[in-house]
Amino acid sequence: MTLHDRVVITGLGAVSALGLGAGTLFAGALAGRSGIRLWPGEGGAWTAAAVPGDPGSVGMQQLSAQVDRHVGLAALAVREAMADAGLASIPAAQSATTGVYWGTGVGSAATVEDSYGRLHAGQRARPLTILLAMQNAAVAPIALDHGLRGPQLSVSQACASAAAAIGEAMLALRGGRAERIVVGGSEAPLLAGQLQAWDALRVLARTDTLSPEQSCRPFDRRRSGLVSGKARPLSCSSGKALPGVAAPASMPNCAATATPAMPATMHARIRQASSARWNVPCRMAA
Amino acid sequence: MDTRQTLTDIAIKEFHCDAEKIREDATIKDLGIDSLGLLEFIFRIEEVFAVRIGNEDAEKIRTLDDIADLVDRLRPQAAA
Repeated sequence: MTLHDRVVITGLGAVSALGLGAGTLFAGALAGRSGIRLWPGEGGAWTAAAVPGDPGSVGMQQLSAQVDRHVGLAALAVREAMADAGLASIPAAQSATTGVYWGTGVGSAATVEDSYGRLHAGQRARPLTILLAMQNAAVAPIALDHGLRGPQLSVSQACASAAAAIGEAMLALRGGRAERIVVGGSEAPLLAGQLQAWDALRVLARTDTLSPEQSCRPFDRRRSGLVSGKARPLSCSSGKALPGVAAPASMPNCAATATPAMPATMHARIRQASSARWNVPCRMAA
Repeated sequence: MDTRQTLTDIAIKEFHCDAEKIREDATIKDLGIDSLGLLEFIFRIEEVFAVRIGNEDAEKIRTLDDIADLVDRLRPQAAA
């Protein structure tokens, strides 16, 4: 393998509180839409940034349908990114040089909570509990589903897990450890036990009863805390010496909000970068 | 509770198996359930039918029909 100075992002995918697809996420963010709402459902006691609707069965080809929520949603984002990168199927000759780096802070929270629920109800643990709950629960099925036999790494760095995974993947590509890496992160912590734990830490935002979608106010003197959410930003990076340089972008995994308070210069740069890619209509923040 | 119909329902509704592929002689692999998925399938069957499937019996399972025969053999024992 050769050493690469430049790393480019060749495909993107996302499943977020704004809907399915990286384009949906980007357009929603630029339009100032918030994915935050009352949870669970109307009249819920919490505010959260849940993925709207039921994304449905992910149907990983090589796996049982029994996977944790964050893994199932990660699979959707991976498929979008792989298709975007023109890598719907990886040739056998490239399999060993194609890796998976994946970040998650909490990991398989639903699986763990279900397991403890069974324990306290006097029931048996499900057979695959360990495999579904380990921090590499997403990496392994992504690699299996797409036949990727290159380097694999699970990264857990709290809310920066996905960003840290992207950084590690960039270093790995520069160092020649792989030619392509599927990289990103996933969380699905919207569970009563998880929210109670965050609440006990006294860091959750107070619900804005008039406008629940505005409960999270980063960079605002009226901010009261974070809002838990689900997010699966993903990109396929390649070490190929393609023209142009793209800096890895990351989305906050555990605090989700729109970007009305984004500095105008940053907004303009994002607008410029996105217009060519998705041709999304966007407006400047007030 | 009809054993074969219940097995079919579990396969389709909980394991997302293709209904058109479900026949008594269809192998578990034909239904898209791998070895790890079979562990979950057996676990679910044990819960639904209130039986315990030992490792020796589990290793012999190849088709839905094998499972149905096994469950029909174990249910009277479990009820006794």
